[in-house]
Amino acid sequence: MADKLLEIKNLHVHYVTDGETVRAVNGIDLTIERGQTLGLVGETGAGKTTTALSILRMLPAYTAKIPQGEIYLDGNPILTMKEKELRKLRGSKASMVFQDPMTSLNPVYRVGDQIAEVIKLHEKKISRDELRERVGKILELVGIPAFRQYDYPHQFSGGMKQRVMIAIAIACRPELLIADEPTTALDVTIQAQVLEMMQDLKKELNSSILLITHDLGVVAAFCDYVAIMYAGEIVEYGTLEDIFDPTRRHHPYTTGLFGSIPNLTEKTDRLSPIAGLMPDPTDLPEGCKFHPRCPNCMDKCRTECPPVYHRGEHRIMCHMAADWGETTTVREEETK
Amino acid sequence: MLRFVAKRILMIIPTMLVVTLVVFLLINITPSNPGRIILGGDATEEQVAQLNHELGYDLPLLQRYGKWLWDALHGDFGQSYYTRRDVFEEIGARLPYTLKLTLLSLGFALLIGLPLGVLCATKQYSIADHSLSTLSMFLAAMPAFWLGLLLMLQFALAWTWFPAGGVTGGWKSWVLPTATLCVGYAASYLRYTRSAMLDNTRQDYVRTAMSKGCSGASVTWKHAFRNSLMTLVTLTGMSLSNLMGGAIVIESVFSIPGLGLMGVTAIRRKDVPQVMASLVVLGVFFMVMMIIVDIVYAYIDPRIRAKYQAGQYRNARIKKEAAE
Amino acid sequence: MSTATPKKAVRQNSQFREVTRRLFRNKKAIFAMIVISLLLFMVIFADLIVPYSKAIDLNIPNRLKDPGKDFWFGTDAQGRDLFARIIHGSRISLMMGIFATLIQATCGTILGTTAAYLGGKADNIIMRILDMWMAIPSLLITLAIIAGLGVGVPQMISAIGFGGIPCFARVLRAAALGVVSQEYIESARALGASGPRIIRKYVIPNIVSQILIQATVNISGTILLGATLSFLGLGAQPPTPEWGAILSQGLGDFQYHPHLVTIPGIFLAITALSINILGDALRDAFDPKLKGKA
Repeated sequence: MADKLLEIKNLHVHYVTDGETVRAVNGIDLTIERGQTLGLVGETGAGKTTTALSILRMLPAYTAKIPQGEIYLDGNPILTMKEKELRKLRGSKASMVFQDPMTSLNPVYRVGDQIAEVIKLHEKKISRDELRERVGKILELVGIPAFRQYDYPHQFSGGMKQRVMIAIAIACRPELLIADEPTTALDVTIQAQVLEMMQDLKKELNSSILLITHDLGVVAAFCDYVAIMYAGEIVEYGTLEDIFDPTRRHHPYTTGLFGSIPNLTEKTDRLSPIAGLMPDPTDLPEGCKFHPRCPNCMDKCRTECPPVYHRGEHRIMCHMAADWGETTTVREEETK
Repeated sequence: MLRFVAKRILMIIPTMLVVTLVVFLLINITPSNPGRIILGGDATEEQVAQLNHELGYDLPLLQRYGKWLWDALHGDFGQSYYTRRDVFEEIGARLPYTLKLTLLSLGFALLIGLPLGVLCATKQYSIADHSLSTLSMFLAAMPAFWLGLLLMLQFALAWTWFPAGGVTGGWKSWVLPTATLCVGYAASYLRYTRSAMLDNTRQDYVRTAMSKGCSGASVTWKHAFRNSLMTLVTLTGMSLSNLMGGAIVIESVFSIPGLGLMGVTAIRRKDVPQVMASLVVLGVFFMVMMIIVDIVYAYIDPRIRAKYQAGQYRNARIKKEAAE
Repeated sequence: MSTATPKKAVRQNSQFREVTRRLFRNKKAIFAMIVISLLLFMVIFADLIVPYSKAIDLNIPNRLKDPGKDFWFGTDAQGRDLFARIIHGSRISLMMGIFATLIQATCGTILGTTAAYLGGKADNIIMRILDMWMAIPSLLITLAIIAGLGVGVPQMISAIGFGGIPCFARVLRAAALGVVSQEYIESARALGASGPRIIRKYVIPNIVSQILIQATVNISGTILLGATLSFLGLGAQPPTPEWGAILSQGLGDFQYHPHLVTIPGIFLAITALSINILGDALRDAFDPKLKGKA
């Protein structure tokens, strides 16, 4: 039993197509302890899904390259282990729930069979009757009547399909559940239901959860820790209080994020979004990747990549935080 | 489900009506004179006119069709203008050969093309993929009759491994004709399978399967291939008629006494009864094949099955809920 | 656009430019296009390369000569220079394929787009008709038309053209359905545009890529079908040189003079192959995602 459940060290992920290199993830460090829920927040294109897929080494085979980095799942070296061993971990030690439930289920097999598949892969000796019972119980756990295991995916609505996906993901009681924007494709009311269900599951299974989302409201309701991602880097990390407390120090991007959402208590005439757009991942800026949009940009920011300053568990990657926290060892420059 | 099949079977009749009418009209775009052709140049005008009257050729076009139809519905499809034999006798003697060639070629084409297509897709960009894809491009571009002649030149005339024609050599007679016909289609099936597999392996549910810990083989066959079956079944159904057309050509190259030569000659000579009877036989055959394809389709794809069963499931649920 | 200093100028790339760019990067496609250009050159300048008379006139003393110095491709049973026959045959074989495909493409596009646009009952009826059409082997329809019209090249073109329409119509109907459900079609209708106008100005330009691809894919098929029919004696009649006809005329002597059969076949195969490669390359150029590299 390793100390931490998930450890990601200095991960870099590139997509290489047709002569262009997309630098999706640029040196992130992340840890998740047992029983902890981490929210990974960022805009579209920040590199969140890529990070999630790398944990189980599920990036597209021909285009994705990992030039640097290490990932340890319960001590297992994910990036270097053999495929056969890795398959034993997928679905049982860690599993994923994907964003779009409409296309994530195989249309030609019954829903019960698809759940049964993951159980059979990891518990080969299980009997048919036991399997049927287990599948029924899991469906009940996610709020679907057990007899519906004989139905096909097209007979379910979007929200129910997502519940089936979650059922598949928890069938083998994984220690880590990676949920990539599980509610984005659903209506708000269904969203609430699914999240509530996930809360209950969290208590039942005592799994760790990596929740990827761009919705700060969901994070506030659900997570213990938060990591904010921008242009493939984690620009801020901390506990829920660290991030949501407006009186504490923040990365300018975080401030911008919170400024962009309407506040229920304050009255404002206009929202204050962040100027500009996320940089082109094939052509990232020099120095701090946020500097073109940062209202506090200094000369230093244009040329030097900022180190990570930390105070307690709270970490900020910004030159301005030099007076606020201490720095760890300087980040290794990416070896080309 | 049964209702659907029954409906399709019933559809055969109007379809055949339209088809036979259209072909009848097409054949008779330019007028012919069977009386003259049968009796030859020596016969007198009266004899020719007499024969034409007997055959019903002096009647207007649509009436002629009506007469044919009426007789046909009573089971009398007439005799060939030229051989004077019952049309079905002719067809019956020759159809088995054509069918044998067609089905053998189809079988081998699928047996070779499908697995190789899956192989190419799973090992995309490898040497195997590139060489097989290029090879199948070559083979698909070759005219079948040319390939047949080349094979004959090499394997029957130069090396005498197989007979150059006819059907008297036992199983050996069938090797070259089948090989000729199936090669082109195997190449085409390979390319379609490869393309369908490439499409399906990029689907989200494959990603889900991977995240469950499925092995590569399981993902390829259980998930991606299973979903490609639908396109492949359609493809096979569609290629069946072309396959038979190809068989007819190969027959002329290898002198196989199938429908080919008889059919082509009948058309050239405007041997109307023969052509119409052959048409009916082939037409019914193909429509039945299409129905079988649709049934297979429904078995493979539960979404289509649901469409056919529309209402059945709902009724069952209502009954169940009422019982509770 | 990035607010950082742009390192390279951003060019507005029209679809045409993008497609041509991708097409010309494909090595196989370039090879295919060179071959096709050579063939077209042969077709257009046949008379300048070698006089037509050499392909037609009998020349018995020179009969059945193997390929050599005097006759590059040898001679046939009537002593005619095979090289001359092949060059002039290219005209028949290729033009026949192109015209037949043109018929298929025009009629198929009109049928398919109309069915897609009208939808509902009209669409159903057209689909039923197409289904029946496709229920019969296209070879049979082609043969029936030839039976009606008689043998010869123009008859063959009409027959092949007519027989291939349903295939086109089906594919284009599917493509058009995708366009017709878009909202700009509704707006056009709301502005008072008539059906044919909408189809002409909105639907067709958006499916041009599909039309092009399907046509290219079909041409090689029609050329081969024409050659097959001529081979069976139903197409080009002697002495007209057409590659399939040349092949069938060589059957009597091909055991000892294989060049009579191998050479026309090679031309047919290379033509079909190049067109197929071009068709594939076009498909890739219009949608690189399908290549599987994305």
